[in-house]
Amino acid sequence: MRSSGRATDFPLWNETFAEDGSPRGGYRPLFERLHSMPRSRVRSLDERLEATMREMGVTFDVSRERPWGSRPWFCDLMPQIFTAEEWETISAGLCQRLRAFEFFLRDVYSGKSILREEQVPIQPVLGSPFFQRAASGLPAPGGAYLHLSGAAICRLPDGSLAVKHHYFSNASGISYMMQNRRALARVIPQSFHESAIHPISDAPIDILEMLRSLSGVSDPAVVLLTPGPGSAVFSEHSFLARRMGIPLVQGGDLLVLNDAVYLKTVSGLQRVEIIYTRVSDPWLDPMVFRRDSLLGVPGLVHCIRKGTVMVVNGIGSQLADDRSLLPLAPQIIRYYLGERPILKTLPTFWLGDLDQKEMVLSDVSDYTIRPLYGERIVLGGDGRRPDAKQIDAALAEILPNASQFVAQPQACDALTVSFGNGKPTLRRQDHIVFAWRVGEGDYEVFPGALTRISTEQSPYTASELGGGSKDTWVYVGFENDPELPDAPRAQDAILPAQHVTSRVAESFYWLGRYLERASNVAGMVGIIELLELEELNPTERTHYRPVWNTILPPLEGTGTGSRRTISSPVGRYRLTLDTAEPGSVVSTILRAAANAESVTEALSLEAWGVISQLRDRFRSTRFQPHAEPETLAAASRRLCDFARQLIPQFFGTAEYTMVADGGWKFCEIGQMIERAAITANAVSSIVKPLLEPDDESDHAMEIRLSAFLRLLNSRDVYRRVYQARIEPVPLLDLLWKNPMAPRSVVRCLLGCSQRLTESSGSASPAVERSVAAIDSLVHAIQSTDWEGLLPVPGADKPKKSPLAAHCESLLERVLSIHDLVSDGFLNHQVHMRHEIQPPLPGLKNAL
Amino acid sequence: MLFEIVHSTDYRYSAPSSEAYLEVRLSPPARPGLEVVSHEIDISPEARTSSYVDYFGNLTTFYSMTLRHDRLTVTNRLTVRNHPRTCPKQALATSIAESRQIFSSALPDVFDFLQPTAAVPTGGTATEWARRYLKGDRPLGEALEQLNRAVYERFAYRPGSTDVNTPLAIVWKKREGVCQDFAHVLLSILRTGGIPARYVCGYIESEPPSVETSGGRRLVGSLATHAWVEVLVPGLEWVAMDPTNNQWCGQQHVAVAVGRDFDEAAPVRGTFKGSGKQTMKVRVSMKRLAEKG
Repeated sequence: MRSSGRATDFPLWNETFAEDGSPRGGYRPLFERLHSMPRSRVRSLDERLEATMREMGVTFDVSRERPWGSRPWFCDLMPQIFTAEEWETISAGLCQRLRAFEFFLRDVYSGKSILREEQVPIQPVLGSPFFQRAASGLPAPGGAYLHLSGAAICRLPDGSLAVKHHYFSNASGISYMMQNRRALARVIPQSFHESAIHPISDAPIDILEMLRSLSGVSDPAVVLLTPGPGSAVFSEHSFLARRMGIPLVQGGDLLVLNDAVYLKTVSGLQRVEIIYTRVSDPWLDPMVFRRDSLLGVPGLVHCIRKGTVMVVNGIGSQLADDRSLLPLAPQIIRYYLGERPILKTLPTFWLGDLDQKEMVLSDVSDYTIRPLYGERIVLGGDGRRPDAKQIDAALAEILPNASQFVAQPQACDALTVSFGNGKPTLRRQDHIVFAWRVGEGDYEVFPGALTRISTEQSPYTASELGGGSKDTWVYVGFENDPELPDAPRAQDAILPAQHVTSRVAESFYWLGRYLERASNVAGMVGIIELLELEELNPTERTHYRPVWNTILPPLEGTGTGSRRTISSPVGRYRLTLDTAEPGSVVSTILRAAANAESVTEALSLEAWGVISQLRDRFRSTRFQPHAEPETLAAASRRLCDFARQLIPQFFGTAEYTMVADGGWKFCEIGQMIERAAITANAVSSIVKPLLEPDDESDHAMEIRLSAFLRLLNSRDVYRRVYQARIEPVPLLDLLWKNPMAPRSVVRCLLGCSQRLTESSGSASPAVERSVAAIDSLVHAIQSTDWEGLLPVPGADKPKKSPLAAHCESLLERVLSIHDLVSDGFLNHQVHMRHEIQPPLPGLKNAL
Repeated sequence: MLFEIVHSTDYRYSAPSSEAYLEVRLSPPARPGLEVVSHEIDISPEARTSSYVDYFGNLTTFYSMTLRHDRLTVTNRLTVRNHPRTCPKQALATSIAESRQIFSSALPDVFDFLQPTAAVPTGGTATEWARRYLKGDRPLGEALEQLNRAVYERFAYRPGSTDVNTPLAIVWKKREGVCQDFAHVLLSILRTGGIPARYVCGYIESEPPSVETSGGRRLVGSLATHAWVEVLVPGLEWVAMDPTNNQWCGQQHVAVAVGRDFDEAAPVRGTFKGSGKQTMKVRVSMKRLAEKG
């Protein structure tokens, strides 16, 4: 079996077939099985594998434009197999390298003896962009820089194994290695029972134990720091955090106070002792590294310095991954260990060196040229000789900054067979293997790998460049007993509820508020469109209009924003679909969706499905305000109806499918606060024109009140409660204090305080404060005598009506609930004022 | 000379900030000739601070404020006595070629001060200047003095002509700037020419009490912090020179922070969280006190 068309222009080792065309050792049974199946069966297995990946939520997003989770991970049906002997070399070789580079990092960040003794040149080391001056004199976590590391391994054309890249500072890909195993074990379980291979599903537990052992504290708090859902490998971060049972946090979740790091959670500030970071050095602390970083934690490095927190891997480790140091690996191993390197290094040429540059340029089409770090490829890398145009473009980029690039021969990697789409095809591959630090000074390699292959879509193996992958089996040697195979379904660790971070709670809170706001605006626009269709007599019309204009848009603050005229179809259309209008339905929905997107890891798939459906519908509708009025009216009606259906559907779905923990609770609290604020704002703004009109016609008053109730979707509720004509006092009662009416202010407030108290077993000062404030407000509303506040007919009107003044003061108190919730649970002002000891005097050092 | 210096940095926000962090490098480094009589740093609102010595040897104060506030002020109050400095005559008499030789034998220690940084790129126009002024056979001291004068003469001091983000290439092209730019230009030439050098942030007495004592000249700088350059000379000793004022630094210069460039020697560096915008005002006053007795 050979593929049609060559897979590469270079002589490559064939991983799966020997010279004579027969499958190499371990692959024979697999080929026999796959060959005995009809092509259609193989294809359906492949489809099942893809579906399994999708179902497990494994993604790797290469394109920034595409929304979260759009690209499922590709895993091949045919696994990569390493024999026990091959693995012995890889494992021993990687551990040796890690030991040597650990010594190297400690040396370079302290005495620099390897440089003083001129065993390696100074320029690529101290001149490396990854040499972090801030790491000098900084304690390394547990006394070591490297704790969890990866390395890319490839085959030289003669079949020998070589190291291609170091990923010592950032072992990205462990979750993909594990997910490949889980998925393949589900799709072809019988193959696993026939083969004695090492299981890998304990990896997260091993990592967690390693992390916990670093701290002297008995039960240290460990968190995983991620750049967030914007990262291509966010799915890996969230998988690892889940499996380790530790909080997944972003920079904004952490706070530095009195030289220690705290996690902001809804139940207060929690000390953090160990941070496993997936944010790289330059972004980690804007006080020390890039000032424009929003991903980091200001003051983190200072806390490391003061020994209150450990960050893994140690700051400055990225130096070990600078590709210009790869050719120095043999010297580094010899210098620190006095050993011969077990694994070769793929020949690597640093273009900052004149001789090496000249050599590479003389045969440039033989090489893959990359920057010192990262997966970008400037030239080659696809197994093909580049044409003159590609070479010129690459050289134009490389030559002005040659010291920022390295070259490696394209004749590396191996050929393998891939069964993508059920058809065997030759592809190129390399492998990333992972190791973690054990005990004092040694490392252990996870018996598996992330094998990366080129695919039909991408000629590159790197996942960042669109490559695919294979599950990787490491055979147990003859002398070893087979272990239990990996279970296709493993339990995620269970997170204690108090881990809801304030950032997650805040996003949920605003999700709730924006959705409620969108739903209200959509409701009002929808009702007006409906009324316009109805036959209204001119009197009714004149009485309706001012009501609409007064309460739309119901912005949260009083007196903010301009009053829009929504009496025309185009005005209402804008209020529905104009993204330039901050209060429009579309703007509000997009803001809600952005909040939902930032907490996708905490949302159920079903709930996210509703939100994304809502967002996509509004996003995909083109804004065309110059169409005919009838067209605009119809569009407004359609979209507003859609929003009115989907928003309650979201809350319903979420209630059914979400863990009822503190995070979700804040979505409901947001919804309640928003609704209370809209009701209170609407009532307050119509008090004057509606309840204290200049003309005293009862009929006109009733039309106005009816219109008002319809806009708040409360006319039917009113009728059910009072079964009488609409009058001011019952209306005020209904909207302010009726405990059953869905949008009464009191009902919303009680809902808030109920949610605030129910979760926290121990009463925190923040909960107590908020609940006390809500109780007192509820009492104030309930004890209001509306009758006594109404103007007495015939009497002289006071300048400021008592009713309006009272409503406004209540509204202000309703709006202030937001600050209470915000200070108590989201930004911790209350908590910190309570916790902080009287501040010590500022530094006053008489030197 | 005895000086009383008050340096205040005042941040105001258009909307209150919920978190603010500062790193403050305002403690004069221990060096011969500089005697710190009293020193205190006040940061308002008050909070606990802690300090450490950074990579370049600056005593750095770390401050975090996690309560809502709308203004943040750092005040550095300093009384120092600056004694006349002795000039390392022998080191300055060494030829440039020999100096380079000495530096290369100590490369791991001096490497940082020979490298370009984002704010101080090397090469380009600096190469011609280095070739012209840093010839191997010249005595180091003479060459430095000449180079310092050349920068002073060929660049115009023009307040407001550049800001902290103006790239050095623009300064080279326009041949004008402020003290920070003068220092960066000199650093770029020195490093290109293989002479290790660092950036100094500090205070300068710009208005001496009487014209006679300062040699009849008012110095440029003041109101804000000043900047100059320190050059490493054989014997690995730092010698300070001020290209903005065409002189070796003397008793009127008081250093507070050093680094490879403006950014690393920034006296106050901060980051804030909040929805509003932030404005910063810096004020420095430096008064000469009469010595008692």
